[in-house]
Amino acid sequence: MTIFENFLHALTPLNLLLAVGGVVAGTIVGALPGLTATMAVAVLTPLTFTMAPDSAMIGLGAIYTGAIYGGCYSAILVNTPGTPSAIATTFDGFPMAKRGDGDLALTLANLSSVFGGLVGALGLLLLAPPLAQVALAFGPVEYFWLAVLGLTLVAGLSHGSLLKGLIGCAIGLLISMVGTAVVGGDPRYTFGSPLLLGGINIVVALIGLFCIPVLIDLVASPSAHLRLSGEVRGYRLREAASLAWAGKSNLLRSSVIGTVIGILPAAGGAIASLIAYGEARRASGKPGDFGKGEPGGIIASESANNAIVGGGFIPTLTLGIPGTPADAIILGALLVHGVRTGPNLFSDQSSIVYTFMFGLLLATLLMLPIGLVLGRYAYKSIIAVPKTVLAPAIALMTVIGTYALHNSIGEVWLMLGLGVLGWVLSRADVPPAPIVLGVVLGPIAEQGFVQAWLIGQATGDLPGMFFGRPISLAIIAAALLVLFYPALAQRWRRRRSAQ
Amino acid sequence: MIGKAHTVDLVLGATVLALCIWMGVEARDFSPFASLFPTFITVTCGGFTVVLLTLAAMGRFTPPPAAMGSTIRRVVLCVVLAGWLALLPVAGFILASIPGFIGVGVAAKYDPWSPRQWLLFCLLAVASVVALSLFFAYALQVPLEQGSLFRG
Amino acid sequence: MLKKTLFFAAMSVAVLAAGPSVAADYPERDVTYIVPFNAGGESDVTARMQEEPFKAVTGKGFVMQYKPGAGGAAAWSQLNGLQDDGYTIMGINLPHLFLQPMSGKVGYKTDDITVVNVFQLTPHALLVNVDSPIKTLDDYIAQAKQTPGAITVAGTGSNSANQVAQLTFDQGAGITTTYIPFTGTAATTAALLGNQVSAQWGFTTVAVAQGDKVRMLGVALEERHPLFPDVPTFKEKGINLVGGAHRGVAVPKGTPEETREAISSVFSKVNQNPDFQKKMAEAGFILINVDYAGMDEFMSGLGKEYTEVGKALGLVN
Repeated sequence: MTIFENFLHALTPLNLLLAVGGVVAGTIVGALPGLTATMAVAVLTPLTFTMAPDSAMIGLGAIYTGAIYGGCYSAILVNTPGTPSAIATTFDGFPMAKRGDGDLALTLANLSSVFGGLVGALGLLLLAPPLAQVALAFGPVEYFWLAVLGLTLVAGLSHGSLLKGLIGCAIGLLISMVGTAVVGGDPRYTFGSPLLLGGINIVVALIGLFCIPVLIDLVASPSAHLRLSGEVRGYRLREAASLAWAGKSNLLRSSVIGTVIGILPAAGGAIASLIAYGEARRASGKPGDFGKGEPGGIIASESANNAIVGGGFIPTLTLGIPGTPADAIILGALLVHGVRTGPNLFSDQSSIVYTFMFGLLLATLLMLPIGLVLGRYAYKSIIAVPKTVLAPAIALMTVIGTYALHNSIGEVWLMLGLGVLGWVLSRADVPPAPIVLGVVLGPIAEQGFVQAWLIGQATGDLPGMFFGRPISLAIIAAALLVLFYPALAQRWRRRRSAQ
Repeated sequence: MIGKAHTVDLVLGATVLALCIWMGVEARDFSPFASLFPTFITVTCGGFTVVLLTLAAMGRFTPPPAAMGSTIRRVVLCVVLAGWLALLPVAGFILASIPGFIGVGVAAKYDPWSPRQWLLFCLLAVASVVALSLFFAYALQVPLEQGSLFRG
Repeated sequence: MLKKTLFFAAMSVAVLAAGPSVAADYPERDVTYIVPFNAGGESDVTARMQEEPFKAVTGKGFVMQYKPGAGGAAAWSQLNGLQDDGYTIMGINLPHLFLQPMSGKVGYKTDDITVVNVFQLTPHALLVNVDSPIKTLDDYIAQAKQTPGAITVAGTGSNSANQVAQLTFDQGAGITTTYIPFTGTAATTAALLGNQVSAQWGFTTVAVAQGDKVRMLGVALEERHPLFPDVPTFKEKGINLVGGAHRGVAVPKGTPEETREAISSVFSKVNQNPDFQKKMAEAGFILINVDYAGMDEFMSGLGKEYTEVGKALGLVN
């Protein structure tokens, strides 16, 4: 099949239906706190076994991208990220919703997600082979420094003081150490419990630390959860579009960041959206507005996290190495279909691959109308539903969502316990985002560090290993910038105003 | 510049410091590479908390806004959730979640309800729990807890 | 005398007739198959490939569940607490079941796990990047002897199959290499492809998946692997490393005997399915058939082997 024929094949009724259905199903599942994008893909994969491989991939890709987008709904409306990659969306999305601009936030998130997804999908279509090499250039050291960058970023971005943000990160890192050590295999801090042997799952921490405190504060006062400003407006599409146009450099930069970081296997959406957010804040000239309902924050976070979808497929399809856990599941599904995934996928099965990539582009475009409509329903229901129904609904979602992970009641208890802890910590001005990022990045940081140490020792060049590689140095420079830029910028400003 | 030392910050610092010390000591029993990271993090975090305690004692922190709203309701919510989870292995998912749902709703209820409103709410609880459970059990193929009362 | 013989003959016939009829009732509904690793991994893919032949044999399918953590130990330590009516089965991996309890408190002991069938072997393979200057196994050993410890070899997990392969090989060849553990085969292979490490202790399945991007230096079988006729076995080179990772299924302790046999015989039948055999062979797996009857002997034989390995390599505390 020529490439044009592949494009047409992506438009067959079945594939179109799969794209639409996938986006709808994925968005709904991703919007529910407790169900991540990975889970959505895992759970719906068996349905695709009866289809042809390219149709199956289009379906799964549509579900994945819909679910990543859907995570912004609960992030904006309930301050709970639907997936880890939506954490940065809560920083500005929820404040916007609280002041009555929730519909604007949702529309803006939609536009940003579609744009970011398109950039990622185009990157996949046009630049996959060279970009895949980027994935391989990142070794353990680079992952370590990348995790450090993510942690300094989130510490610096949090509401309270930098110190409390750092302590939050440290608490998250301590939590991530519970479980079995990667090097050595020792059980650590498990108290002999089989539940803790596998460590504390990131989704358990995510739901617990974000959702339970929201719930606790929800019941504490009779005032409405979100303010409805005036009459119910339309989609506020024009407003959102003009905001997006005003932030076009942010939009483009964040999408590229998302695509590139999505290429790194196991790096994940949380880091990408965080880095994009941090960059947007730094480049905006008004860093103080971020975290209080600044639209630029949503643009950065949402475009980055949907760009990861396309970016993550790059190593998956080019090297046979999954870029994200959802990609691993899709690869597995391909294997079950009898498709040989690996470096020769592009050459041997190019028609499947190209049909899929066009299908992904299509699904991303479809997110625009579908997302606007679904977002409207979501917004209306959250606004209209009284607290006596909203609170139990959220509680039910968290319980069933946590339980659905591994069928473990123990994990639901963990979630509740972490939730209460999270509420207490937020009273002390330690926000949940640094803690959750600590849990996400802890394993990446630790493994990168120990692996780099082992390799450095073996090659006899330990300092060179950690500080001698070009990519690492760039990341270290970025981290230092994050830590010291605010203080330096303040000093420059004072000097300038004194002159 | 020197203001009040706030209890919250002191408690935070002391608790986290104690945690770091305990985890750091535990880490000595691990194999060499498994203890590397915990040692590093507990030492660094311990350092942060010492700085925190010092700054807090000097009154450098502004107080976080006091928790508005009813403490009692917050506690009730936590008790209801705990009870819900405790009931799960015994009564099964659906039968435990219905009272759980109702309980959380009551914790958030500020207006008095007529008997009709109560009835509607309870029906809503049953409908939501059953619908969601069916969705998870059949559409998503996630088997839900059956409860020891019902297993053979 | 004749009466006694006839009586026993009749009893045997009755027992034989009763056996299959119990098995014929199982399974009456879908079976929950718990994979102790993440979705998308080799254990998951194997299970999903087994579902079709399973359906062909029994008419029922799987309900997949994932309980990853601690290299499988999280799930195995919870196995005996699950429902034992035969409708909950769990994938198992060897040598994990032997090595993990040996290395410390992991929440279960090897004998706690009731294995009913072992159906698959993935042989150890030593891999290097195709661009690597190391062309043959002899090159590898020579370089390791020249610079002890300088060769970095990636592998999945600690105290895992890959690490055992590395330690056994190094002892057999009289060399020292540095083992770098990674989480998951994908990360391990990525490290090799990116030249972050010099070599990888993996399996034949990795070599098949990566095609001509990697070079297999040796394989841990008695005879050369059918897909790789040019690759020597370690035995040929005088190093006694034969084996790999086995996969099988286990059930909770309380599952009744007839149900265990029924499950075992279904999985044995799955292994006979020609489509399944083809898919497995193409991916680099080797199908083996250890059913419930032969399990005790198989496990104790392997157990002795791994205990020796564990002791010799200092894994046993």
